Parts: sequence; C-alpha cells; structure tokens
Amino acid sequence: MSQTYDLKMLIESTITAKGLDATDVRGKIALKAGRLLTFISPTTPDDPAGVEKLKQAIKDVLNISA
Amino acid sequence: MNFKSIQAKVLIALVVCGVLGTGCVVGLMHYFTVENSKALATEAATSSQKLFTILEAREISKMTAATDVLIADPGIRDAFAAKDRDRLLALTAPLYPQLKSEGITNWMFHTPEPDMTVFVRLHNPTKFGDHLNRFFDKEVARTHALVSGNELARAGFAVRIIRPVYDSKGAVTGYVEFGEELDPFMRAMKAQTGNDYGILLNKKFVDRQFWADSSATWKRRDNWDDHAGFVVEGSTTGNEKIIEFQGDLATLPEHGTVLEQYQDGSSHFVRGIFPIRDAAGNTVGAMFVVKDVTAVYTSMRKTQNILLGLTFVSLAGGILLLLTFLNRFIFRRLQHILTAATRLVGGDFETPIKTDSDDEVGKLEQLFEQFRNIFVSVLAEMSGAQAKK
Repeated sequence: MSQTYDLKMLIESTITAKGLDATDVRGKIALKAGRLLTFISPTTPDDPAGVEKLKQAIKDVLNISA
Repeated sequence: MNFKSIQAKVLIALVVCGVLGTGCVVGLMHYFTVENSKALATEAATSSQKLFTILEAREISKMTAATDVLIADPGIRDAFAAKDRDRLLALTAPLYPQLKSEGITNWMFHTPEPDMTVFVRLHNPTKFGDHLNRFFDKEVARTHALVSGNELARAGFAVRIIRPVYDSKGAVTGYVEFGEELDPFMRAMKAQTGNDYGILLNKKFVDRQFWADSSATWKRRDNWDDHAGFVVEGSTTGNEKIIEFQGDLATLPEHGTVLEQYQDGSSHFVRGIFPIRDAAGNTVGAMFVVKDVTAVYTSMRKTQNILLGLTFVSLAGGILLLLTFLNRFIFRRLQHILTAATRLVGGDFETPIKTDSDDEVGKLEQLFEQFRNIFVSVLAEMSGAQAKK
C-alpha cells in the first residue's frame, strides 16, 4: 500500500473517531491538497509533492500531524 | 471576524460612514448653536438699540411738550424776560418736583448770547452764572431752534433739549433746557426686554478728577481703572464682570456689534454693544447688552441631543438593515455555494444547488449547478473507465 493511501485511511479513521461530517472534511482536505480522495486507492503511486500537500491539508483541517 | 471578508469590509465601511455621519450632525448642530447664539446676540443688540432710540425720542417729545407749556405761561415768560431770578424761581420751583418725578432731573434757564450763562438752575438753585460752553449752547444760539440729543457731561450721559424763549415782541430772551439721565432708560429697557445693560463712557470725553470726585460724593466705587478705554457709568446688574469689551468705542459700527458668547455657572449669555452718539455726532459712549440665553441654549442643546440620538439610532438601524439584506441576498448564498463546492469535492454528488432567483448571485448559482452536473458526469465516466481497467 502507498503512503498516500495510508493518509487517506488516517483521514477516514479520524472522521469516524471524532464523529465529523465526512463529506465536508473530505471536501476541505481535497481542495487544500488539490486532489480527490475518492480516487486514492491502495495502488495509487506516491508522489512526494502530492504526499506533502496532503499531509499539510490534514494538519490544517484536522489539526493532526501525519 | 475575518477581516479579509467582504462582509467585514462592508461592515467597517458602514461603521466609518456612521461615525462620519454622526460627526457631521454633531458639527452641524454645533454650527447651528453658534449661529443661533450670534443671531440672538444680534437681535438683542439691534432691538435694544431700537428701543433706546424709541425711549430717547419719547423723552425728547415729552420734554419738548413740557417746555411748550412752560414758555406759554406769561408769568414765567415775563419773569425770565425781566431777568427776575427770584420771581422765576418762585414760579418754577413748585413745578420741579413733579417734573423730576417724571424723570426730568435737569432744568435750566440760560441768558441769551453773547453771555449765555446759566440764569437759573432748578436742580441746584444756588449755583448760577456759570458758562457751560457746550455744543448745545452754541447750536441753539446759532439756529434759534430746538436742539435735542444726548450729551456727555463731565460725569455722565443725559438726553437733553434746549430751546429759545421769546418775549411778546418775538425777541429771544434766553433759553430753557431740560435734561434726563440715562440710568432710567436702562431700567426701563431691562423691564421691557429682561436683558441687562451697561452704559460705557469713552474716557476721552470724561474728566478724570470729576469722575473721582463724583464717585466719592455719591459713595460709588471709583471704577476708572477697571477698563482701559472706557468707564462704566452704570449698569442694571451688580456684576460688572459681565461687561467685557476690548475694542475702541469710537470705532463701533453704527448698528452695533455682537461680542462673544460666554458661560457663567450653568447660565449662558450673549453680549452685544452699540454706540451712543452725542448731539454733535461724536461716539462718546456705548450701551452694553447682555442677554441671558440659557433657556434657548438649553432647548438647542436638548434638540441637539435628540437629533444626535435619532441620527445614531437611524444610522445603526440602517447599518443593521443593510447588513441583513446583504447577508440574506449575497453573503449567505455565496457561503452556500462554497459549502456545496466543498461537499461536492468531498463526495456529495447528489445535492444540487437550488436557485430561484435571477439576480447576479442567482446566475452564479445556476452556473455552479451546471458546473456541478458536468463535474459529476466526468467523475462517473472516469470511475467507469477505472473500473474497466
């Protein structure tokens, strides 16, 4: 599995754990990261720049370090 | 609050407009208050001057009528023509108290020119034979007609008339003079207007030593040094501090001038001054007018406060109403589009943007809904293609 997919899983588990509005949170992170989380699968290749943007988006929206 | 938002900027702009608007109203009201005070002072000065002129004319008319009766009396006329002082005094002295009670405090008979001395002085019978050598004397001798007006004697103002007395052959046998002091004028003017008055004498026309002597005689404080260019002859108020004038009486305009407004405790006053000219046309003094405008000032202040309150409330209400409209018709709908866009990207492909308005934001909502439909279609095609792989 890719690091990108791991980050997607982190987002989903955090949403579940905190009982957040999933669509809203996913949308905010997607807009900040510049990619749709829907298309991230276990086989999605890691792009270092893309991974960094996703981590930053997670930190900005969920306030957690990935 | 997000100060980068249009909402915040609009709010700040509205608050600034509100503050400026309120400031303008306060400034305008202050301007009106000052202008009204000036108008009141002008009105006080001009109406007092008119009243003074009317009173002066009335008293001159009264004294003229009194002399008419006097010189028509053959006994008095003959006694004066014969220069029989004792007989003249015997005939006129009983009349003096009555005339004095009517304000005529000065009554004199003068011999004809060229001597022109005081023959009888009813208000001071033991003093006679002196030369007065005033404008009045010269003018009546020159014209042989009635001369009237104000005169500043050594110790104060008086309004006087002097006219010739003729014998049965039509020859001038001398002159008769009546005079009234101006203090009763002030009291009458105060009774009618409620204003306070003061008579100022130009020091150039007043004898310093006589002023000191008369002050001592009448047990009056010698106020010669209170002011540089003038001395206060009398006033209707015990508080001479309200009489404050820095200019030169000689340069006062014909219709007077308005001085500054001032406050004494909780009372507000406006001041004005108008010149008093003598019969020769010299500005020998002035009348100072002090008008209590406390009631008007309080009323203006109250109106100012009401207007200020109304302005503030209406501006605040206007700002609130405008913000409510902006929020209802623009900001809330823009926020809805933002939320919808975020949720669309987050996976909510089913919720459409509803719009029932054809305004600018409505067109944006319609455009976004069209974009959302295209985005969902593309996404569906991409998902299908990915599934086939």
